[in-house]
Amino acid sequence: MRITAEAKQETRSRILEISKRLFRDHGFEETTVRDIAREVGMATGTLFNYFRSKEEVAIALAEEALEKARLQFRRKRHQGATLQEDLFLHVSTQLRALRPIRQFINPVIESALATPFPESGSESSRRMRTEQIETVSSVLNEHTVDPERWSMTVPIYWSLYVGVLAFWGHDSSPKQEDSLAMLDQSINMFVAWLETAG
Amino acid sequence: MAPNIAELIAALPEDTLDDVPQISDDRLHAIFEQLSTRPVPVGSFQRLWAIGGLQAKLTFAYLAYYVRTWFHSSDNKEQQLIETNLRAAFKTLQTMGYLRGAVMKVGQILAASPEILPDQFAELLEKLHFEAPPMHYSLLREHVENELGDDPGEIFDDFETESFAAASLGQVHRARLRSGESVAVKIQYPGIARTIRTDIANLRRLLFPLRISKDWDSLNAQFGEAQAVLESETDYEQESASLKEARAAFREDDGIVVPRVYDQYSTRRILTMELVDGDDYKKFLASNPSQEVRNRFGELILRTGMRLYFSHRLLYSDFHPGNFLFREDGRLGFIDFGGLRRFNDEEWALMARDGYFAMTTSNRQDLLDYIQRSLMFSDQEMEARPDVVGVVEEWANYYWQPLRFDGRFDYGDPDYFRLGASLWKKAAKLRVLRQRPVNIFAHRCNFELCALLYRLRAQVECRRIYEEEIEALGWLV
Repeated sequence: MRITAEAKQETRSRILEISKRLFRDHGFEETTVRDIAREVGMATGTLFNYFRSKEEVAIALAEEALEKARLQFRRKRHQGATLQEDLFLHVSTQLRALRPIRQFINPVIESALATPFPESGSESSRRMRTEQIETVSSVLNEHTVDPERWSMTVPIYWSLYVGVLAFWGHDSSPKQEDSLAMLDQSINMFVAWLETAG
Repeated sequence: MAPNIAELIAALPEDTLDDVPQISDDRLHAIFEQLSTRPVPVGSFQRLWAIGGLQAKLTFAYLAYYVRTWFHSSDNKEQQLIETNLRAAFKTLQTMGYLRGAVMKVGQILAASPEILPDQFAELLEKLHFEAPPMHYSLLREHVENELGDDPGEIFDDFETESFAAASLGQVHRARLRSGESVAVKIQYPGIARTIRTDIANLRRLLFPLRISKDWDSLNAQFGEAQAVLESETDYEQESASLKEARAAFREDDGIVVPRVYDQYSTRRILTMELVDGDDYKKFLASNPSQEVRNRFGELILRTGMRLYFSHRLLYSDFHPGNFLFREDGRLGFIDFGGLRRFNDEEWALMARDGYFAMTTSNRQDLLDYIQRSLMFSDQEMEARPDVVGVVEEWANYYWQPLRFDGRFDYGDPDYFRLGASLWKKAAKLRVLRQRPVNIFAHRCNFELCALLYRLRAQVECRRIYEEEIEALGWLV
């Protein structure tokens, strides 16, 4: 019997849904691939056809969330926004979309976002980083930031971006308000750097 | 083992802001002038990097001065103070950003301890009260969505993305509710309230080596008090409750407008209230108002404090000019209620009721008995410290002078204002305020009120207002 692409997609979505619940209820560390397979009702070997590790499952969940965030970012951008505002919006929409998986954002950072370089890691982590850099790049271009400086800009932006994500993952302040302040400061710092470097 | 006082002083560096180059008086003056006239810089990369350390440095600079003045009486004390203030103010303005509220609040607490009465710093704080750099709209809308559950554009029929007023802890935006009312939405910078709590906790920790001094208990109690007041200023739910209580305290014919709160759009971090029209005091004074108009507003300001005090046992300790609006219709807008402190029964009985009777008696011994209770002095201490008793008596008479005056008392008289400042300094030197934590707030309230009325050059029928306000208490004989 052949499995249709549609059925495959459905199974994949089910794996993601169930994993999200297991990670949330039992913790990322405590959940094994075997637990996920059992809950989905498939052999562990079959699950490996979809995801090679639980980290990949987490990355796929993050990718889905970031896709939603991208749409939100486009929808929420407003006329006359400054570079700070656009960059802030870009990251804050991500944080909002990633909220359901905040508890296990660390493994995502470690396995997919640790470096900005698109050549390393799994296919989906490469996609995430590329999308990220392209969006930031296009925002900078729209605000007429000289693309010549891009090679220096990426590592700086990336360290602030990952720093904010990691901070947010551990943020115990009410409604993660400290992360908003942290993001605001980081973006200000980044833009100030662009200005002084220019 | 904790260091003794001498060791502690020796350990304090003479210049804790050691990365600020030494600058001459002229240069300091020029910097101050320059800072007073230009907008607050939002900072560069290097400045922003330095932000974490700034707070500690500022705190330490003030602390160093604070501790030194307890034990030193050098001739150049005044000079040292001015330099410390200006350098701190300079550094503050350079890096004012996320920490602006915290830095300002910490500065204010120390400023409330009158060993340091930093006029220069206070003037800068006042400026920042109006001109702090704003949160941008992307940050705001995210914060509003976290607090109120939706984008401001969805919640309100109209929301102005530019703020129209800045406060030390946030900023205020005009908006219109879907039901049509114009409102002011006060939004606190995310996380600032907890930053302040941390500041105070750190300050207390820094002061801990002083616990062996005889003043420790009262100093510690004052910090506790300061902490409580600052926390109340950062909790908009509490401010909302105060607003409602104050709104109920004034009648239509009082001429005092307190905005209504919209609970549905308010949280601990966001306060949505009716938009009250009016000019701020700078615009008001720039319009060169007549003496009659100045007097009227002066009386209304005095009435706000007295009404809350006598009818509601609330001490309004924040007579900042930015908290009032001067309306064309002659009414006063009273718009900020972060600085309210409620008296407990004991404090109320001592400060208001017994204070009234002590000040209105013709028998000086009654007043001295009252001072003894207020200072918590034994009979021996009363004998041994005529200097302290003398200052408190002088001070009590100073504040009562307008209340005893028949007709309009001229708060614009510079001699009267200067006398108050010199009494405060004298009292501070003798540390007469330290016995009861509430004292420092009561005097801050009185002195700020005098300062505000002085600025307005108002002539006020103090006694009449006072008698009207206490009439209901049945104290008048």
